[in-house]
Amino acid sequence: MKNRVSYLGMFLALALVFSYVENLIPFFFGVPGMKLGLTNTVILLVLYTLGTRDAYVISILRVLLAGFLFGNAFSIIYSLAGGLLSLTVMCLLKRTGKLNIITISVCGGIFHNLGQIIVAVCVVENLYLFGYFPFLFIGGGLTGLLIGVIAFEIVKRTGHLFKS
Amino acid sequence: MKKFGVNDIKVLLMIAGLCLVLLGVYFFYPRKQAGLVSVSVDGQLIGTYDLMVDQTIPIVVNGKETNVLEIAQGQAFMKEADCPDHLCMKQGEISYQGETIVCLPNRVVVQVDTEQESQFDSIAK
Repeated sequence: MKNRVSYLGMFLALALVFSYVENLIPFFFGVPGMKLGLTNTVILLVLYTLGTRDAYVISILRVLLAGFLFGNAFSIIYSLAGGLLSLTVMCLLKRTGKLNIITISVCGGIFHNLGQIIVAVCVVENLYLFGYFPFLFIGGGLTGLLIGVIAFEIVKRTGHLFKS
Repeated sequence: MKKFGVNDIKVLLMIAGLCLVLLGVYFFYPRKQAGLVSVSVDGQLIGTYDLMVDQTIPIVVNGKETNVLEIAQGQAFMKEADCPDHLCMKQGEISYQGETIVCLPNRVVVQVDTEQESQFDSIAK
């Protein structure tokens, strides 16, 4: 696949732009740290066109770059935990071949929040934080649904352009 | 590419059901008013304060005053924080047992404790 590097560069740039846009949207869902997860559209697109390995590459690089640009060491750890857990779950679900992109995105959203709350519990050493879990579960599911629908339309319309 | 399959609908219904159960647990779980808030930094307790006494509590982390907790009318809330997002301040007022305010950047946890029954409650009885 000769265009892989240029595709990866473009997707990484897109993911970074989405991270930035997300920082601009004041989206407060009753729970601290709740976000829309716009970047997940890019990750899903990469996962469905370029493959698992490239999805991990984009995900990790995106978190590191966005963390250095807009966040701090803490936000990198949280994003990394959430992003990697969610991507791993999405890869495994996709590999079963039984679920479609929207459901996979919903599960990804939920596990993204689960990963972040686990790190938060470890950082502050307080199990009561799991009390936020109902909200994070529902919030992750709803944003995952929204992102899944968007990603479905994008992959349907543009997916053939990037397939090798 | 398919949008939904049978499996998708099953999984999504399961997730929706789980959401309802979690919401139900959250709203119907009995909550008691408690009388104390404890403040901990990095998992270590640094003090407990009476919710019945209106007071302003500076929280010092590593020799630097990072947050200010205020107790007024039986409720505790974060009044000031030096972190960029001020998420702890947006978490609002707490007064029920087990409720928390968390400031992740400074690793500060404020939590309503169970040890002492609320004076509001005993008056109400």
